[in-house]
Amino acid sequence: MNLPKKLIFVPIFTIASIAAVSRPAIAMQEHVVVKGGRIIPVSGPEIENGTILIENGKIVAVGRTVDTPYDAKIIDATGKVVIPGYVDAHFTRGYDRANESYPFTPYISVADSLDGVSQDFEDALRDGVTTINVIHGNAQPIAGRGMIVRPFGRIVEDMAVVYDGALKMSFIPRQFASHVSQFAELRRVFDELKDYMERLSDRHEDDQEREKTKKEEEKKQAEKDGKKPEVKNDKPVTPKDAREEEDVDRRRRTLVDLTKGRIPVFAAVNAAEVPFALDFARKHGFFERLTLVVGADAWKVADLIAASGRPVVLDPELIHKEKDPVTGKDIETPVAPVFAKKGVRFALTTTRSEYTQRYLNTQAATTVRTGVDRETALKSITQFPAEILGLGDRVGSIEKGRDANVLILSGDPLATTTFVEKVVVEGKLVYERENDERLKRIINVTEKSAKRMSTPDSKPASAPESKPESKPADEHKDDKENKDNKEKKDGDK
Amino acid sequence: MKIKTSIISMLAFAILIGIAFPKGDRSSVAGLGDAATGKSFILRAGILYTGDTAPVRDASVVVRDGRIEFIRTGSADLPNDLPVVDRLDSIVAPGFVASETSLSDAFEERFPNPQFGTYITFRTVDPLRRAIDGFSFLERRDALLASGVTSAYLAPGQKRLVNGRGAVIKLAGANPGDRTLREISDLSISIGDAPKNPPSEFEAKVPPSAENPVEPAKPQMPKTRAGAAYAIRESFDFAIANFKLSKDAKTPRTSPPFNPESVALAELLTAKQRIRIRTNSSADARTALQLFADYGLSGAIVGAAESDAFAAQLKESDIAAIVEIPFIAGALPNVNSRAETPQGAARTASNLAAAGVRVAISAADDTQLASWPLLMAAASRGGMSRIDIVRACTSEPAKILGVAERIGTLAAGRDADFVILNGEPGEPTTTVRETWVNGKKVFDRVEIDARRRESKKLEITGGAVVVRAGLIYTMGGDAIQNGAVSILNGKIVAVGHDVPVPRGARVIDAGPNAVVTPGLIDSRSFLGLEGDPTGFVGNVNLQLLAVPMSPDFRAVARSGVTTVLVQGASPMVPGTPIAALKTGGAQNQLIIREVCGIVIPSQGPSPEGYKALIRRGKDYSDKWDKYFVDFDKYKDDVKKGLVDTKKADEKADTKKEEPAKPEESDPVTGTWEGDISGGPLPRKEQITLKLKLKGDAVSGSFSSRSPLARGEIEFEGGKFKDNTITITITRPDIPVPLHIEAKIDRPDHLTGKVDAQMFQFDLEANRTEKAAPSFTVKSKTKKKGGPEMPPADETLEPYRRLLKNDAALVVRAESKLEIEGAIAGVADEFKIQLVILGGGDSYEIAPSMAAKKIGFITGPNLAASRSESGLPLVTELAAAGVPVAIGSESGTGASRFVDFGAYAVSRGVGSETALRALTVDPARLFKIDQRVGSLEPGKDGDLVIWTGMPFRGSSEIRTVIIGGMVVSGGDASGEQK
Repeated sequence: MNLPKKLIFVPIFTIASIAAVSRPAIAMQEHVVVKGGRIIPVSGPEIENGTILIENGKIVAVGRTVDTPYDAKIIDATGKVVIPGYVDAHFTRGYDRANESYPFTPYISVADSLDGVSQDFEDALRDGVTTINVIHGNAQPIAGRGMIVRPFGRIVEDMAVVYDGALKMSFIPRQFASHVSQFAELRRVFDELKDYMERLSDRHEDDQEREKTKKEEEKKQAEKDGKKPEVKNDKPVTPKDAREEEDVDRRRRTLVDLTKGRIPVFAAVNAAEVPFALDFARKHGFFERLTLVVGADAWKVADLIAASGRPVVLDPELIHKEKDPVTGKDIETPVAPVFAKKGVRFALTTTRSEYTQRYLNTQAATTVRTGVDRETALKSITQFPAEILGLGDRVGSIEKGRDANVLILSGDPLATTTFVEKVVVEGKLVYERENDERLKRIINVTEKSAKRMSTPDSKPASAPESKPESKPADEHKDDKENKDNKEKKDGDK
Repeated sequence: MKIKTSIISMLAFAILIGIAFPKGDRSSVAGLGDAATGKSFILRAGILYTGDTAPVRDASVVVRDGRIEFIRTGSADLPNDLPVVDRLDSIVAPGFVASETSLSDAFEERFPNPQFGTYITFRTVDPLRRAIDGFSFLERRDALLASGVTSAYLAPGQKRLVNGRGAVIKLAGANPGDRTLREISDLSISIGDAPKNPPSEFEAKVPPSAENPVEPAKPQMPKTRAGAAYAIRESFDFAIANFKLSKDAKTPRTSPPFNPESVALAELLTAKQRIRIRTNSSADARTALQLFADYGLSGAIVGAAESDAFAAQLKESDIAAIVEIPFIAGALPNVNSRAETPQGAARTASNLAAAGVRVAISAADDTQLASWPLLMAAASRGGMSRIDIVRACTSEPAKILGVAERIGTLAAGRDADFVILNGEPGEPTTTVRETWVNGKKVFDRVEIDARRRESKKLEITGGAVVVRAGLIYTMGGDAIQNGAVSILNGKIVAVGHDVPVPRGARVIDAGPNAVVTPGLIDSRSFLGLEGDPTGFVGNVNLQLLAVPMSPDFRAVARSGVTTVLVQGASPMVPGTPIAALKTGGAQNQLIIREVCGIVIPSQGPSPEGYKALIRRGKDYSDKWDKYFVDFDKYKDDVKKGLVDTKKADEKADTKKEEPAKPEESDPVTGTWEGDISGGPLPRKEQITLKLKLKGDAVSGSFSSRSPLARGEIEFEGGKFKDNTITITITRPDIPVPLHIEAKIDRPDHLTGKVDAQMFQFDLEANRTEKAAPSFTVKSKTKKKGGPEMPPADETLEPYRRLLKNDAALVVRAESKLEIEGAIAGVADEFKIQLVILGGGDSYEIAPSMAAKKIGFITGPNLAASRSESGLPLVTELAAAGVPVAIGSESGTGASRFVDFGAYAVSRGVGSETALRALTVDPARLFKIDQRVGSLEPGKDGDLVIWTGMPFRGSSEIRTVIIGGMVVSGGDASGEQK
């Protein structure tokens, strides 16, 4: 399957696809074998010249001697490197906007804003990211729920790996706010919730008491009247908690789930907010589900984070820079090795704005350059983010039973010259570099222009091209003159 | 409504709150900062302010694990297992407590219009806010620690009627838990001008519905003082009236709707927690007093301008006042009211203190906070007594903030938080030298200055030092009674009765009996000359021998000798140089002079032997003098256009050869192009050889781009024999001599080798042109016309100095005849500075020596007496006006100078005579008086502090300072590390 074609057809297929939501997204009754490559399973030792057998989208065997079924579709990886698909644990792209302007919106979900045909997902696939946690940005104290997707599929339901993902919070003061006002607001929101729940509970107690008294009164009345009390089969009494929660209004439901520890939370913090965030999470029952999305300076509180045992998503800026207050000298601290040394589980992530921080594999290579061992670096873009997302048993490594998310690379994953050649998502070959139309176009254009620039006799060829270019400029000039005239006329009026 | 029962339960609740918020959650926070253990030591303080009592002289503070174990006067019965931190020359006070600061980021909020999409609800009554949330424990607080502030109250803002809860923290310490003294402290209320005109309260309704309609933003009070007072009362009353407990009697709440602000307020008001009210005027103060009284509250007023009008009421109701004293630094603000002047505010504080009100003083803003000693000076000008000022900065704020059990006073059981001051608190020149928190030094002026200077690549100096003493021998002029010397960046900036005290200067008040003299000079020292000093000969760079941090140098430095004139001790070799070196101080100040003199160690009856040396030197010197004169003239001529520079340049070329006609049979002449390879070269390098054959002699040029020889290098004296060319190029402007040997293996092609000492290269070249090249062999030094420069001679350079009267000639001469010979042969003839070494008979011709300013160096035995009068020679010579210098004639022996001096004084050498001979006289004789020898502005900050008159019986050296660095005595920074 090649991508651009798919993209072109999206508008046509969308209507049909919505009708087919209930259909299993990617379900194939077939065997696929990835053969001959150097397999880096991440969770175990490398296998030279290994084979992966995939059945119905799941890996059923990995090893040097795996029999190939007769009906298997064979993907040849001879001379290539095979690695699990990368996992991006914190992806704030692929939708229209990252944040609402109102600070507290736990009731919204990324699922409603996800844009399946976004170039971000196409890029992700091209770069080998097969599991993506799409989530809100850092501009709200409580944003909304994220969603874990595969960068493949026409509509949200096709893409969804986990429909209701983590709730995004941010302890970093938003624009114009201070820590003091932001934390006070957070306390207020949770105090209000507590108050609400208690009032609800009181009401139920009142109801139950009233019912009980009513029954007793009826009983007494019956005894008084000399009647034999009716033996009724009482309905099983709904547990108190459940009844309360049924009554919780829509706007508060996510927060109730949060305080009961039912949903994972991704919280953005800089070093300064880490102590408060950890305390707050402990106090409000979501500590066990907390992942810290840390700023570049968070290495300063690495001890504290390590002691808490919570995993982190590192800032795309992997080298923290600051100035010595006395001497004014620049101090650079590589962030990842600090966390690696303290045994904190961390995931790497990317940003589009910095070219050097755009690819997960180069991010991993950066950590290796600054002192992280190769194994940890590779895990930090596969296994660790998978575990952080609660998908440790599904993605992030090449093992029996895992989803067949496999990349075939042209070389070592940490080499900058390596390209993703093929991407297999859940057993299906969804990307081939040689068929990547957009890439072809870009490369062709570059090659052509390079050629044109290098060949001396290109001048006559480009000369006619330059003519029509000059024409619109003239036209534009005319337009401008017309406009000027018009304005003049208007002025005359 | 069961208000009565709820009030009772509220009281119960108050107790609960007390339990719920003891030390706060933050004590659980580990991992920020370093280990919690403080240090153990004994602090010896010259003057100790405990914070609440009168100052104690000569106190010892015993600190264990960052806490004070006990305090005692004097140094008796102290534990002997602890190191001593000696600050006997300084004043020690508790770390200052800032009782109102804007260090919390609550002050950084801004409130844009919600219509622009930013929803920040501004509630004028917001007791849920906590200042501690906005304080970053990770940030360094160097500026505040540098001003001596060790603890601070964090205000939760001041733009609201009820701003929230403050906090009390330390500005340094092990971890946030340890640093948080009170996580949730006073409720802060503003009724002055600050809370006026708040933004309207806008509440976004999400999602808006019929039941949850969008409402326009509600305007909030106050616009006026009256409005402020009313709004506060209303919120208080509402809170109390609607406060109740839920069924399980654990959770406080209001009747619907949910109003946590009211709950929080009611909790506070009923529990009678401390409140602080910001006031701007006497009217505000009145309102504040009323509020305290009406709700039965206690606490403090902040800002407290004009509050002295209510001094009696404040005292009666036990309300403290935190007076903000603005002081002027930089621009002069417009003054609107009495309260805004430093004087007015200071007078308010003073009046309140006098009336018995508990007073703390604080800075008006954070910039001023970083100049705490100036704040104390402002208070002093307002009339507060010194002890009241210290109290108002330490113990009183600690009490007001409720943290007196840990900080604010220096007493047993308290945290060892203290500052080292260089003067009395309240004096305008007083600044903080060191700040300690929990027994750990967190600020050191010298260290910070050193780091800053290092980063700017400036030399590291001893910072600033001011020395006060009863008598100062400047040696350059009159002695000064009760004077002081001020040193900055290693140089003396002032000497006098009252000198400037640079910021953070270390002030050493040596007392009325102390005497300060310049650092001593050892005029004949063998210090640093390894092995047998007599074996040391010739012209060696003496300064390279100096190892200032070596124990030898330090031993000598500690004995007061700050300058040594190092020289060889050989009795035979004439003409060895003397170097003037320092024994300590900044690294790049160590060499005063590479050559300040020349020694002629033995003479014999006639000076002719060394006169020949001097004559050679004079010839050399004259040549250079002439060159400089000619060169100046040439430059002038060029300027005037009298000389055509081009022509002059051409004239300078020594040879120019005309191109000869090519001979057909000549196999060599022409231009050869090829390359060299091999050796260390990464790739082939192009070379060009231009050769010319004349008989069998080859001349020409060699050019390449390799580092062997850049550009075109001419040569002569090559040979051509048996088809082999041999060339050797030795020139000062190429790094190594090149030896080229190449064979012409076939016509117009040569191969061979280039030999450059360590490396060999392969050479291969083809003849590209047969015409004889035209080239010139230029003079070796690049010359551009003008007079020719004479050759330089290192060994004769010192004589140039000597003849310029920029150094001294030391001649050993014993008998009268020898001395007179030397004077006639050297001093008279060459007009150079002569110093007689030894010279037992010199007293006989003392007047003529004095007239000709001939110096005299004696050995360490100052008391040697050969004169017929029976007086020591030194005394007699000095009396006659002969400049006298003293040499130890040993290496580390100079460290016993003081003992010799004392002996000499006991034998009749005046101590002032001895002092002259050890300071200003040798400095002048050896022409190093620009830098050392006397205490005058601009000279090196080298001095010695004596406990009494130098060289007198009980007098000894207390402190030695070299280049502003304390090298011995007190807490010599060089020694303690």
